[in-house]
Amino acid sequence: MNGMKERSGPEEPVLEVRGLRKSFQGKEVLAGIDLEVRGGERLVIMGPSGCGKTTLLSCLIGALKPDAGKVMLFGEDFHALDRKERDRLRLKFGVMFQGGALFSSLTVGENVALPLERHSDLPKETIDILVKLKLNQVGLGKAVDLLPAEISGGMIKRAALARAMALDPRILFCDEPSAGLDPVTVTGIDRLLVDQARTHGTALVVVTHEMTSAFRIADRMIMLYDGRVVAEGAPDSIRRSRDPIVAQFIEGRIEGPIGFSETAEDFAESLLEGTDR
Amino acid sequence: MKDSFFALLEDWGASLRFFLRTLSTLFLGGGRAWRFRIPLVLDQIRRTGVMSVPIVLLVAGLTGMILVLQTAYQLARFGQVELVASLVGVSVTRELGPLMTAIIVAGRVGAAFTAELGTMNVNREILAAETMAVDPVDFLVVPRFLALGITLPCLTTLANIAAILFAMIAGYGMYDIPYDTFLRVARQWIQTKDILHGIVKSFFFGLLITHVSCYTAFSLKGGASSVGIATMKAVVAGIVGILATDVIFTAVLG
Repeated sequence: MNGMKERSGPEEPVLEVRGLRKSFQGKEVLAGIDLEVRGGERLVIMGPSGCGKTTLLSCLIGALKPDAGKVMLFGEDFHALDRKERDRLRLKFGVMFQGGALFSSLTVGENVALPLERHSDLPKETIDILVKLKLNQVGLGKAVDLLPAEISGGMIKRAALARAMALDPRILFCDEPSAGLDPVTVTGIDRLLVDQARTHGTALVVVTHEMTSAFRIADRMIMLYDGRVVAEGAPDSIRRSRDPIVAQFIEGRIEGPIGFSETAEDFAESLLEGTDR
Repeated sequence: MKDSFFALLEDWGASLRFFLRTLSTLFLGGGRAWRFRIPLVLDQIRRTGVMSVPIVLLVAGLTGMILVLQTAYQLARFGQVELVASLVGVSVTRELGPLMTAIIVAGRVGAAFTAELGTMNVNREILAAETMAVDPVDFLVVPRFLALGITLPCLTTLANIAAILFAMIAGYGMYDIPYDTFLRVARQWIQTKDILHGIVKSFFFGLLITHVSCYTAFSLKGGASSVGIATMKAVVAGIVGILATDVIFTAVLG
């Protein structure tokens, strides 16, 4: 840690992580993570491949059970709850997966309608209107009847965002929202995320390693390296950081403490991450 | 060797837990759950049942004809060619009908279940359902479980009818057994309990195929290539499971 902590806003924490640890086959991937997110805050978690970002996100959304530590969502220890209680908390957060994870057998509209149908008593006509509103917000009003296979990668991400926001969650977790997209689409998605946080007060937790996108979204950033938080602070302080790991990552230099080559063992371990659900 | 044995036990334990979770989801879901399930079950009945009818009828019909051609030839030597109707009737309704239909469905529908759900697992769609507080077992497994529990007995009944009908045509065409004689002899020998025995068995085969294929899909780890391997495993395990269950049924119910 380089002591660049900054807290802003009077909001209570909606997410608190304390001493989170996770190992795969004896290798520690998360070595005691502490972090806190307040309502309306936009936290970007960045770091090189294999640093534990995806594992951390998997622990936060309940896809992986940590070996030690706590994930407190809205003041409740998420992993200590039973399935029913966890589901109650899940209604308060949304997840935008890297590949979208839209249900391929359902249309875009049906994907967005699913959480509304399952968790509300609204009549179908009202749900249809809400679906159109959500899709219009992400510029997909005309794609309501299309299947995920019939739309582009950028449209899939926007549809996934609309689905994640269907129940107006208080936290939105995003895994690499800009991965594999063209720069214009990336800017559009970043803007949608920031607008969502500003207009609805939704807290954002965004995992990414795309620096342009990270600086555009974040009002606070943390950098993970080797399973630890090595830097935390506002985007400007991170940009000015003299920490060699942070500086190398932001500048994208090959020379520095972050190794460029990855061994086959490292690669195999990175594949194992996120598979013990 | 020891590790493989424990891994196998662990896998069976996980499979049993998955089965119990499916049952508890099925029976403990309230009236609200059924509101969402019924359209999904109907869709699965269409996909698994209605669309399997042509292949089931074709295979059953051909099997009925083969049975006649194989057995009538020997019975004719004893002047008892019409007894072929009893042989076909009893063997089809008790054993061949349910078994053959279940094996076809394991290959056609079980493979499709594993491939579809396995791909959804790899694409994190199952995890996405969980994060939306939509129980993936309720959303994806229970409708398939119910659909195949309903459609397999129906398909078996159709297979029985097709096999006997085609056997009758073959008997008339090759050995001049009149249709009414064939039906009379068949009716004399086929008992209601033979038919029920086959139908009850096929219901359990349906549940078994769904469980094996869905569990294999939900438990797979890795990428796209794992889906292919898992599909193959599910079909093999499904067919072996059907044969083993059939042995148990035959031993217990006679």
